[in-house]
Amino acid sequence: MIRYLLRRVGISLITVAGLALVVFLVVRILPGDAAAARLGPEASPEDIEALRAKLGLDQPLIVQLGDYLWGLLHGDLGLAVSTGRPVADELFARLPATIELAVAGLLVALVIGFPLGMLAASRRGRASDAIARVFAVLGSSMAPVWLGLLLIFGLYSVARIFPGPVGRLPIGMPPPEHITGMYVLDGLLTGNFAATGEALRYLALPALTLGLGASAAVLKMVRSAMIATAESGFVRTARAYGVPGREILWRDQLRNAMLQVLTAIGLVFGFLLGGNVIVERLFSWPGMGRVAYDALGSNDLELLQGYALIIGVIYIALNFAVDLLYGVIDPRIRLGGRSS
Amino acid sequence: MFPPRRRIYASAALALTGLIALSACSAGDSGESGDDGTKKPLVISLDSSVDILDPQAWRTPASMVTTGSLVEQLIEQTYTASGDLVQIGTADGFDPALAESFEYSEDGKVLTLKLREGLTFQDGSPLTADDVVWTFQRGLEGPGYIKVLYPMVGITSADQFVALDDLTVQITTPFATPLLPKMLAMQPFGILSHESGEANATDDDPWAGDWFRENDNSSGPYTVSSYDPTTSITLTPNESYYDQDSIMNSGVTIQFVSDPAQRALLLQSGEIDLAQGLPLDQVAELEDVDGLTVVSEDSNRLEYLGFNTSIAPFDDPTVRQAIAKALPYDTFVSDVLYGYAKPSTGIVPSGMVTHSDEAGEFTQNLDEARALLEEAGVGEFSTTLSFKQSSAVETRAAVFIQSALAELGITVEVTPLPDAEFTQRTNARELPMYLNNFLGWGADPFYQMKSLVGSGAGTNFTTYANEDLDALIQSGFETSDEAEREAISAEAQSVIYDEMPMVPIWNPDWTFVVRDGVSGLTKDNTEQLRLQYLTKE
Amino acid sequence: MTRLSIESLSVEVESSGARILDDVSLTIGAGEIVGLVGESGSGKSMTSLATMGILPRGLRATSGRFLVDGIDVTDAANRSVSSRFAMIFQNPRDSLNPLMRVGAQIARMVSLHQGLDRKAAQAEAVDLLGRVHIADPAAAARKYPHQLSGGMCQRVMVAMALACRPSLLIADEPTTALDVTVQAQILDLIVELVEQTGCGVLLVTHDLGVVAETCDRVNVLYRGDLVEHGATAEVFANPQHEYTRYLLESGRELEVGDGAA
Repeated sequence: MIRYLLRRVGISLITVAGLALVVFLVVRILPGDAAAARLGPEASPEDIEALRAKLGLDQPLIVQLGDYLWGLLHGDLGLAVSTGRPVADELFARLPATIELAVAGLLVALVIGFPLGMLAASRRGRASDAIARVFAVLGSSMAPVWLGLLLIFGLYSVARIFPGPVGRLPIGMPPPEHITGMYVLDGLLTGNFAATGEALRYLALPALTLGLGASAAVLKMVRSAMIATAESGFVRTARAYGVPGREILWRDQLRNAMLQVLTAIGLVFGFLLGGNVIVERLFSWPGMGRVAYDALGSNDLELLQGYALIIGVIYIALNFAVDLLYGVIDPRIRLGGRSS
Repeated sequence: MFPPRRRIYASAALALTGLIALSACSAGDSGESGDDGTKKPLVISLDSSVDILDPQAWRTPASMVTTGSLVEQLIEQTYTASGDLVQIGTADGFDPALAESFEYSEDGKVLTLKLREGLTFQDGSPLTADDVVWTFQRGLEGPGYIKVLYPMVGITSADQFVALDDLTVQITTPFATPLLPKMLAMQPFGILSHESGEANATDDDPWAGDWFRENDNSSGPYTVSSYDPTTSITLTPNESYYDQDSIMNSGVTIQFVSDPAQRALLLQSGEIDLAQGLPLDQVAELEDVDGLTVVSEDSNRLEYLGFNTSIAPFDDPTVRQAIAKALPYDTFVSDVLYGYAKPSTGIVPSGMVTHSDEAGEFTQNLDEARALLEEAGVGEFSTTLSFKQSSAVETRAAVFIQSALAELGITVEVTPLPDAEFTQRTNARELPMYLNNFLGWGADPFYQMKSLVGSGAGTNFTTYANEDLDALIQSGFETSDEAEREAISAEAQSVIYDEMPMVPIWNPDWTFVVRDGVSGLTKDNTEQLRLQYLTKE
Repeated sequence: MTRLSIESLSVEVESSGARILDDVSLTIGAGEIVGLVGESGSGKSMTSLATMGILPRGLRATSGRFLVDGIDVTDAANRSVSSRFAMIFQNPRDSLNPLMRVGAQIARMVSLHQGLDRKAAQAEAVDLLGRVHIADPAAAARKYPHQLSGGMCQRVMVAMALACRPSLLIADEPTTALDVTVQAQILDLIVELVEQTGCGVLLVTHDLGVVAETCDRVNVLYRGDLVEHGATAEVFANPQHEYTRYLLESGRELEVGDGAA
């Protein structure tokens, strides 16, 4: 187990290093001059050159890469060209919002996708399976924007069940005391239940938008994992020995299916974190996705770099966490063992 | 064999119900916090978010509105009413603000302003002439870009600002110019605290650019009570402001809503009181909605089709004139802007002083256009039309332009560009033909013309350079005699019309949509709101 | 007493109606080991699955009765528990839950079939592991399937079968996936079991050597039809059906090259 973990850690670190390099290079290929964009159309060429020099944008690529890597090791992601604030501040201030939304979206995806996936597996070949799979196709092909607009129209504009797309809290409500930056959690931890309640209400629509799309993926993966385990040898043994169906489901099928589904959940979560950009913009959700969107428009290299790096690192960390969980759940990994 | 799915759904439903119940307990608690019985707070949403609080270095229009509320200017434009909801700044009337009086020398080159007594910043420190001088010097030499405005009034050195005593400031210009008071009334010329600047200056940052970006020591009607760059900024009245009665509300919150369509939705549901930057087709629909009013005034903002006069065939003025004759000006107003614009009246719009009708007309006449093109000896050719892809209006207009020019045998490839790329390539003077817009502050015709077609001007993307024209415009700057200014301006407009380095195509209206009961919208010569006058019943 | 009697079992593919088994009948007496041989595709595995009541999806028994110790159990809901069947499979490790310790898996069957509480069931599981000659059964009970060899896993399966106190044990290719030496051990174990408990065994295999070693009687399946049956020695010495003759001749060669998987 230890060796397994160490190996995973090593691979993760190498991946992060590679990511940093790739991010750096890709971002520099984008057209558009960040210094000119920052200073605006009134700026003189001299001022633009001065800013470029100040930001180190006129240095050879190798020098810029060296500065960048050095800064990374010190936790310095540079200064955002467009606002002058440190990139780390800009992004980490908004990270909790993105994480909160991604977690909520994941929960929605699991709550919808898991039971439906199990249902489809158990009713394989029958009507409910077909319906579930049609739902899966629809869910994964619906553009989040369209779905989001539909939900806003139906559940806010018309039915007034959920609040409008102003962000994480009602206009004028101060956020709860900052502990994690996730309002639902912070509200609970500080006894500010009003804030938790409102945060949940405002989370609902964007989480539904994200989650419905992702639930299709969860549904398919749960379904196929359950079908695969249903056809496995040990399930056959259990059936042969008359173990009750319910027990087979939970003890034999689900636990073994989880191994496959876990990887998928990690992937889905990573996607939700990165695919937030459009949904954040639609719902005025103040997360990292919006920053990235604006950074793209103003060609803020530093911000884009930082964003890509952070999302990449989160993804790598997620994969590592999934590997870790594997190690915990699967005794074949945890204990090693003979192959014959 | 498999468990009744009822059980699974039951538990999920239970969890969901629990969540909704928890949120229902707390719903609808955050009310408005109006402290005064009669004055109400407002929530507004503009076309951009607030990112920088330095009045001399902001980037977005919402920042300009906000920073303008955190500082007070020396003088202010006089307003006249236009309907019940709007006040418009007059062209050359000025009222005292921080300065209780001001006086010109005989020759008009020296302006002396006397500050009121007892003025303070929000932190209680006194506001004196020294702060005024420091602020203007900072504008000239500091981190912002308002320094480009100073040469327009002939200010090139910091020692043209002098503090005669604690309450008296003197500004000396090489020529008398009506542009000076207009500038002094603009938001970026509000007064900052010298003390705050010094206390927060560093070797790298002698003008405290970093501090002013995030902080304020207000001399204006408001202070920042809460600011989250990702969500909103809330301004509350500044207790140290010298004229409390002129603040018509108990505070303003600017909510950053990134999607314009969602902004409209929030306006309709009553969550915000005023919205700017809504898609114009939605504005047209909102005219019929009860409870909402559309405010729309003439504006000096100019949308133009620019040429790069260094790239053939746009180096030939006849070709440029031909194109100018081919464009569907009325169609732009009706189909692209849904009526919320005025058709082109020239580089100096008809609402701006010294506008001359004699310069030339902007109407579509395809026969004349073809004739001109033939005269130029240019056959069919292809070119590209570039613009910011974030602009829905320009996207629509580009299509009309493309089909209009197709009638002349000109094949236009429509190329929307990401905003930053568009900025970079126009700055580099790379684009042959492009759509852009410009708002000249101060509603000053010479400022307008110099910025757009003056040789080497930062916002002149046409590379057009005409020394004689430059001299003519400069003489206009340096004259304060009205009749002379009119004559010079008229001549310059004629030259520009004949040369046509760019085609002014429309003036988009200054448009807001407000809930009934909201009034006090002010349109000064920067065409941005002054928040203190917003009123809600 | 006849432990198992299968009468006229027919199985077909639901969608196409293709016949997998056609009117197959056989009996197994107490203490008897009866072989069911045939090549792959003959339907021998389907016979055992049909008997257990766990035919795979898409297959259906169109006719047939099953009698256990003389009682008709054809319509019984849970044939294994009610009728005291047990089964062991070809790939023993695949037949065990990789996430559960083997002791727990056996204990589960003990609880189910003998009604004991958890602690008693666990003790019984260790005991059963001892009965199948696993060294240090207490330690073995705590292991996971991947930590045991193929042979050990098959012993575990036998222990699990014992937990049911079966009247009938169906062994579907129990040694095919094992080493030659281990094969012998497992077969010995099965024989020992039969002597101790008096249960019947249906031994399904394609390996004639195994049949020769252990089976009292043998049934030969060819494409769903039962073509020959009788005492092993007689059938081997004097095959009546052509297919049986063919099997005997090629089987020997098959056996040599075949062996442990």
